[in-house]
Amino acid sequence: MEDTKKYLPMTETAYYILLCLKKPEHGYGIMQRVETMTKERIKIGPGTMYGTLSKLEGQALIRQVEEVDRKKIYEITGKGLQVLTLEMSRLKELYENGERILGGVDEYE
Amino acid sequence: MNMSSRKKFIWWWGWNPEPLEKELEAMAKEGWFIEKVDGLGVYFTFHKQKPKTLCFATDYQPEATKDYFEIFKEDGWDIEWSGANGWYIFSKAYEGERPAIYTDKDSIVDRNNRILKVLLPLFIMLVVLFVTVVLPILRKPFYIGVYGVALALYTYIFLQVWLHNKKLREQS
Repeated sequence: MEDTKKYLPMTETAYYILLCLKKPEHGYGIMQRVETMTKERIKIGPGTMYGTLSKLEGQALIRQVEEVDRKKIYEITGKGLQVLTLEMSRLKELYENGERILGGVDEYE
Repeated sequence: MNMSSRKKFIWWWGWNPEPLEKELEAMAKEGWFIEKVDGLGVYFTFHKQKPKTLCFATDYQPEATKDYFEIFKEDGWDIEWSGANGWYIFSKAYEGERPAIYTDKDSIVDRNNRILKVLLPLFIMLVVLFVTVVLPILRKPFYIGVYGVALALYTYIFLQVWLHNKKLREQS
């Protein structure tokens, strides 16, 4: 089986694209959703969006489901979901370790 | 002299289009807008209109599909020029924060890799021809000189794109 760990760590762009593609969506739709979701902290430019979509499609983490009005609609694949879950556990570990140490309950101290 | 038209030669490198983008923006601020561009994207004809704050962005995407243009269009970008097998200049009016078409380093590295990918076969061909034909057969200083200049230029471009990518990777 292919090692899904090689896709980690993911860029914020790739992470949010995968997350948004739990439901079928097109490039510009994803850009808008990410902007709202992150309260405008992350704005994905169209060059980055197109490039990342092509890359993720090439890695089979997303796939095209249909084409409407010249727009490609993508969704996450099973492999994509697996990679996303793995990345979330990695982020969770990062966060929990930070919280434990800064929160003063470090059992390894 | 025609006061509503102006021609200008602007040299720029693919891995660093920022000077071009800044210059086009400055031109638009003075009311000069792109009317015509040559096939290489370096000789611009401008026409005069009301000044506007426009952001310019350059992209290289030899595998652009309909979806590519849709994403740019929906985000408010107009195509100002396309040519040289996959190069594009886009523009977008803005106020306040300047928009960008590349918003993370990885995708800029990927764009530079697309440039390297198209340069590599040509570069190899140039080197092979130099070693197998130009040096042993043509042997004339003129040919070797012309070829040497072409090779040096290619090496320079190659090295620049590669160094640019290395720098970007080290930053992240």
